[in-house]
Amino acid sequence: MPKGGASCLTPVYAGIRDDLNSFLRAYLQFESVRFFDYKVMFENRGMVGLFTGRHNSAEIIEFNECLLVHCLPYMEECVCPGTPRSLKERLFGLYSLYTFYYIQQEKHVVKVRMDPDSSRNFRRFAQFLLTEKIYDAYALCQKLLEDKAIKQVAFISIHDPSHFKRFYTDDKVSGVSIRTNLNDPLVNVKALVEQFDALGVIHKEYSRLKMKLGITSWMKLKDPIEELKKIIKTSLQAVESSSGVDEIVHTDHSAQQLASRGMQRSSIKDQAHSAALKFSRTRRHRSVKPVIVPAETFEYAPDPKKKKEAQETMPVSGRNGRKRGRPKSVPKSKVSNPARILYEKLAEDMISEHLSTDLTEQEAFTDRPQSSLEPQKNELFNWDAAPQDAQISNQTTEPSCGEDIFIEDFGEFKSQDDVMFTAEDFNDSLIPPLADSDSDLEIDA
Amino acid sequence: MSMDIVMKSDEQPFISAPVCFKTFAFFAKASAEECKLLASGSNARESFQQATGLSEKITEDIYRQIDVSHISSMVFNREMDGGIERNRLGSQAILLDENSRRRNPQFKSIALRSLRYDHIDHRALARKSPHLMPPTYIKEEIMDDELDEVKEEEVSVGEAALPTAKVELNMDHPEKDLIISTSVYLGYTRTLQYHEIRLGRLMKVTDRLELTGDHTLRDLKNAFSCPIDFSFSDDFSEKKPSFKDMAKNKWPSSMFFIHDTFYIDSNTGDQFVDPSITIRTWAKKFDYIGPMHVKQMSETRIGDLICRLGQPYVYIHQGVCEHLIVFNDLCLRDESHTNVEFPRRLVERNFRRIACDTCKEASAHWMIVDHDNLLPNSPGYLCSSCYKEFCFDVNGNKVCQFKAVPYCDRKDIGDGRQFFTELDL
Repeated sequence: MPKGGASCLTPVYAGIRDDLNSFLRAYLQFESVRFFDYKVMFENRGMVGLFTGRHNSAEIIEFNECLLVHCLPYMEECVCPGTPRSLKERLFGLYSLYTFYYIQQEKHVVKVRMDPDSSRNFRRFAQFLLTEKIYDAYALCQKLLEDKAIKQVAFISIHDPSHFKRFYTDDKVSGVSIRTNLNDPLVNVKALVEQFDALGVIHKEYSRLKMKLGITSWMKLKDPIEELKKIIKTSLQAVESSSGVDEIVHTDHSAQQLASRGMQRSSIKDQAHSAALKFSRTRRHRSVKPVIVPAETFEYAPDPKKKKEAQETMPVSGRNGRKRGRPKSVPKSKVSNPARILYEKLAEDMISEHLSTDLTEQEAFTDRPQSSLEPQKNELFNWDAAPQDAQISNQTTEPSCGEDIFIEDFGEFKSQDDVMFTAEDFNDSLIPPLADSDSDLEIDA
Repeated sequence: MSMDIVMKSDEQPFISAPVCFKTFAFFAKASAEECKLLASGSNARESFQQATGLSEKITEDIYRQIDVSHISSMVFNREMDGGIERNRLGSQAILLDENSRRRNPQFKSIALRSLRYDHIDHRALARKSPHLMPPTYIKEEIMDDELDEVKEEEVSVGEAALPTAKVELNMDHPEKDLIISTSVYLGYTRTLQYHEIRLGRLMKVTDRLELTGDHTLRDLKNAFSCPIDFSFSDDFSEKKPSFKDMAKNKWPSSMFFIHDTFYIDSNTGDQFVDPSITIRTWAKKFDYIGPMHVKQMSETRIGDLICRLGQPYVYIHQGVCEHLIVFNDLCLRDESHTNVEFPRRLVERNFRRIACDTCKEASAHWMIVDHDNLLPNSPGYLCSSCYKEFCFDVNGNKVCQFKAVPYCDRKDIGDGRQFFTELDL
């Protein structure tokens, strides 16, 4: 036997009832009660397939038995008390019983289980069919009886405890309280009942003698029998509620066995489902302090000296747009050179002098420096530096102006070697230009 | 009876209402007689004509229409045709689902092993054909039966053969034709623990018997065996065992407890002691247990019982061994019970045998205890030949100090003669 009993498995007769009900609904829609039409419908719906797929002898026999038993309820006269069953439905039950009985497999033909009540209903139905002249159905009944298809049993259902899952071991009597030791505490009093009669006789005689002597105080005496009866009644009422002792009875297990019983599956399941789950933070979701990363600034912070120099150069560059970029770059690269500082001072002086002269003087000044500077250039420039010559030549093509001359001089002082050489040469060259200017002034004078 | 109250018999689905076997036998016989009267003719057609008054031609037409011999279940190749899937039946869908869970088609699943009629020969339960042959074919059938008997000599279970003559019902003693199906469960000598009851060990059927109502409870007792009856309790290493030393002859007292009555067997000799005295004395102390009666099992026929189907009753023997006895079904004798000897045993259980510890081939017939490291186990189990060869020298003397007790394996219960032969009893 499997664990948990046979009822935990799918029974052999599973689904039979539904199949028969669906077939019944189809048959009821068909307007005919002949067996021939039922047979055609039986074949078309494939009801013979109920026997398919079973190979074990025990399985086949049990299935056939259950199938035939499931056909019997359709033949009953009433569905339930007070609700009659239609004739067509009863014929369906008879036709199904007959057909399933005669198409059973060979060597596995089982009889129809009927108790005496079912057998009586079957015979009554046969008589009813004969009366109503439904001859094909009556012939089916005759055929079944001839082949002894009915098996007389006490109960249609099988009573076998080995095919049930639970044996109700937990529902046995345990801890039942029963009153025992029902003793009667007034037994001795009841034994004295016979003496009460004598006491009554004495009382009557005593009262008679007093009356005879003329003593009238006897009226105050009480009847002892009545008094005793009252006392007994009250005592019985009090005793009834407190008689006996409660005793607890166990009929299934002893206390030790109950205590040693393991935990039941249902209690384990209840404990598992009722327990609250504890959520724990996983490492993946663990939070940490944020790292403070300082933002990098890419702006250059100039020195205070450089700021002053820049402020000084601003007014000079502000005058002309072309001079703005050049003065900025020159001081940065030439701050440490003392010759460059001297040169800048001289340049400023010259510019101031140049601005003070008139337009005519500017024209004359411009003509003279050009003619005088051309031969000097050959001496000042190195012939090795060809690109510089190209730059100078380009600049000379621009409109002539005094400022251009100064620009050319600025370009010459890019390298240190050039700067040293140029400064000496410049000091020498400064003298001729001054002389030239003096000569011009004398001529004008 | 308060035992019904304790067991709550009315609430159990597998227990029926109380049944008087004799009363049921009477009503069943009456019902069978009425069915016989309804089909009184020798043939169904003759009965039909007599009842309806129709002509022979019309009768033949009707019987031709009710013929269903052409209807048969088609054979499908499951792998190629897939016929079962095509079927609209719900039961077939359930069956297909069950078959799909099996390991392989040849494996006998747990569902098949838990069937009601498992381990029972189908010939004892079912007929060969739904049609009963006419009397003209009786001779041919007899010859066929003889051939079948020759082929199936090894398995000789009472077949549900076709009747050679109609069974006449006797209304004077209806219980004679009553067939009672009885289940005998495995016996236990102690109270089962809760987990043992839960696992279903309590409900292990060892024998399923069919008896008639004319058999007595003593016949039921003799119809099945228990290995404790064949046990010995003394040392037989230096002497020969005899029938008197067997447990069932040494302590022959046994009893059935059915409903409210103890059925004892006092005709077992001088060794008899009433086993119900102790229980009845104990029961007198409790008021909720009703009065209990004592009767002789040899004088009580099964047909005279009043009990419930499906309710476990108890059979106690050897003082401690308790077997549950359940009456499963009641039916009337019919043509399928022809040529059947009752009591009939239906179930043949295959218990695991205890093999010899040395040769591992034969079943154990001797149990060796209190030995001086003669065997690795104590008790050790030996067959007869190994017992003689291993425990005694060439002169027949014991090789060491040990005790030997004859042992009857559970598997050999059904064949008790083999056990007696091995012991030379």
